[in-house]
Amino acid sequence: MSGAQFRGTVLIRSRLRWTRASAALLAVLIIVAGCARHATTPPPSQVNIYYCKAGSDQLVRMPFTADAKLKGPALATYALNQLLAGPSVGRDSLVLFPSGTQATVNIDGSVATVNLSGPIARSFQSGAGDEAGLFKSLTYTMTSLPGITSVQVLVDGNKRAALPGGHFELDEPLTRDTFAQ
Amino acid sequence: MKLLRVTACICALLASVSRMAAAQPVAVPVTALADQVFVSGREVRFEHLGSFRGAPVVRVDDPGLGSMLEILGAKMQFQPGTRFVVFTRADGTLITFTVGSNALSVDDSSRAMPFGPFYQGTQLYIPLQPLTTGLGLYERHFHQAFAFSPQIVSVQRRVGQQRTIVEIIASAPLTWRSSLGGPPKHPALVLTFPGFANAAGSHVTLGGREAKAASLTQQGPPGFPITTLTIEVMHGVKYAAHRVGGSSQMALVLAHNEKDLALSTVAIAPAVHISAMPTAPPTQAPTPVPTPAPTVVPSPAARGAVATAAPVPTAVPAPQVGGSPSPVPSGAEEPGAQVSPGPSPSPLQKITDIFVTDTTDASRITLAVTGPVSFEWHRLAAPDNRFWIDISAAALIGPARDIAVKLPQVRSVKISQHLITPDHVVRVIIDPSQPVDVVIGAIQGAPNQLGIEIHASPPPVDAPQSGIGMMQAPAQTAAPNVAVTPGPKHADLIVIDPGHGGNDPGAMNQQYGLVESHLTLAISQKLKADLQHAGWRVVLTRDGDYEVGDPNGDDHQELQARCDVANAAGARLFISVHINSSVSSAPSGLTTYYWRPADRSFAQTVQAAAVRATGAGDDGVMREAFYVTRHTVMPAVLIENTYLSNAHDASLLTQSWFIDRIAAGIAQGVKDYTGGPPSS
Repeated sequence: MSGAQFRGTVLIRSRLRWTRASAALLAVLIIVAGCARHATTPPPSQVNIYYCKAGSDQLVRMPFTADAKLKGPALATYALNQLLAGPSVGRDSLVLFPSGTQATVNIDGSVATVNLSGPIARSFQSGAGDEAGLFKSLTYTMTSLPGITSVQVLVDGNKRAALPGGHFELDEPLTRDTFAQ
Repeated sequence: MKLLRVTACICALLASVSRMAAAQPVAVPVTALADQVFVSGREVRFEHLGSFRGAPVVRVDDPGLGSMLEILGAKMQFQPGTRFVVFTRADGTLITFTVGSNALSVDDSSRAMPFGPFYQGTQLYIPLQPLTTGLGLYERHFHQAFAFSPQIVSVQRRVGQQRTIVEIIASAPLTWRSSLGGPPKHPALVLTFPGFANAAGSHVTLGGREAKAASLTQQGPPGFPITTLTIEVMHGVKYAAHRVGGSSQMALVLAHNEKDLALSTVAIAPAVHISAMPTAPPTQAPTPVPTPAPTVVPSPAARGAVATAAPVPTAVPAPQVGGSPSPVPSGAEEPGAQVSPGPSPSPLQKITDIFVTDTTDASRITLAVTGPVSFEWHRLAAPDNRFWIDISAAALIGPARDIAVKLPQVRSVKISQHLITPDHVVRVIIDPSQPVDVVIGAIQGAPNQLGIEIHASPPPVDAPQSGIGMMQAPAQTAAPNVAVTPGPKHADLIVIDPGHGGNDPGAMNQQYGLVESHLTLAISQKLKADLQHAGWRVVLTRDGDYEVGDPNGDDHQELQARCDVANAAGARLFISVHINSSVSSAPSGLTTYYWRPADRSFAQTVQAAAVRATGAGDDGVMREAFYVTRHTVMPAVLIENTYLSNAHDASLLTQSWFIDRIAAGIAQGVKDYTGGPPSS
């Protein structure tokens, strides 16, 4: 696990309780696909990040503890950065955003608007399974934040039908129901 | 209206009509006619063109007639043994010939012909020129040659905010060239329509802040006319040309700001969910519906829902005369509560076509309608589980008939023109052997289709016993950006979509030199051959390494263009072929994706067959919001055929036998799902 993989999020990561995160991963590996609908809203300082297992639509939930002062868009930004950076262990089996992906998030009522840019906005290289997994993990992560029920994805600032070279429809807000089987 | 009444009367007076037909002996034989026929400048070869009483006639089964209709985007419906020969023009106009009658109906008007369709022996002939006139064709007769050209039928202005919309309707699928030129102070937008004659007048008043006036001229040789539309536009005006509504219509948008050039997308009403579960003691068989009350206003709840562009809620009680909503007494039907679609009478819509899609646990009956219709439904309590739907202000084209569905729980489905006066009502009666769940509503992405889905599953216990619903009227511009009105349905046509292509190679495996877009094309071409061998007609969304649609188009146009191919062709099934790839090298095997719950069994069937044929891993079927499975209107799946990112899968994908197995597996899945093409 080289430090370079953490890219710009090293500062945020340094505040994490690594033991807690690792324990959650190694011992529990809670797979929440399908049952995440019933997940309770975590306390304000705890953020659930969902990663999708490659080759499936199963999610792995990882609770992180954020600074208690983070609220609203700042908390969402924290969660988004954790999602983009990926977990410290078990990354090989999880679908992660491509290296170099940049994202910002704005909150408007119950909608989190996530703007993706970087290589992912030019051409999506993976298959449909990973693509669906990415947006499922993004949607579950954002909608686990207090008051957020849907996610509108923008690509380089614009609403698009799909990522370039992609398959997944993005011109409407995504909710957990979008991923209901 | 009048003509439809005539058509329906003919329906009712079959006996007298057949006497009339019998009394019209064909004493004069049809003599062969060697004239050449040109349509839109292309020669069409007829095998059974003849002359009868000095006028050209054509046999209904002549392949030349089919070719001609294909050029014009038109369609013929004729069942041997029935009396109607119905043509649907590309713009939706209906032309109905009736055997033994010299009245020709074109939409709502009737006109007399020197003679009508007639049999000679067992062959049915129809007069050619009334047909071509009805089809909106411009005719020139040369020495031993007929030249028919489609026409620009109307050019109309519709003013929107911040823009002018010019709507152009033709009698055949439109092609055009456009250019903005002229001196800077007097810029002019010029559109040319090669092969189209002008029947829309010479002058169009526009006005407004975008354009002054427009003129239409027809040039070119008589056999290949060219119509030019010249619009005097204001300085600085930009424009966009959109194909709208159907292939024979376009909308020209003129605006000062680029952002106003796009046409808004039509919102589609989701299906209205209703159920046919008995909750009350048995009741008597349905009593004939008495003459409906002249005007019954839908309940406020229903109207409010329509105004906010949402479907009519599930459990709207059948409104009573006077509009005071009160619950329908359980177990007892209220057939007197006829519903009109709104405070003002709706224009009469036609039901032009009926087709059925069967899956193992549901049957969908799709009615092609010429516009939004409202409907009312009732059900009877057990043991008589009959369910009927009355479609208001609707005319059924063709005779009353049975609709064959494969669902074992359904004994019969019948459709008929139930009433002609004072209102046109088409009735669909479903006769199930046990309670079934019924869903009625507009079909997503197809504004002119009313879907009736019969599900084998039992409906909710608290289901209502009657209700009303309404297909949503098209949005203000009536024009989805690049949407194509679904064409005629072809039960034997499958559209295969080879994923990616052109500047979008999809996923890659550099170690094995594999590119997704090449593999999807190879699989699709093999699949096409396999399906054709089995008797299907097959269309590929691309047959080379290029983007579908505009090469410079964005991802929306690209993906929509793939859907448009299938929707416009009226395909029965849509199969999008892809190769998967993951950031992880571990995943392997096949996955089939679907979106609509009704397509799940299609996905499962294809997945199972493809896994069997390839021996690849079975990743199962998944429901994901992939664009092409959401915006096609027929059963649609997207198959990810193993992983480029997995070494074992990638090595298999380099082998041509493996490509062949994938194709064979999907083809087997199609066979398992459909039972084969209709004719086989």
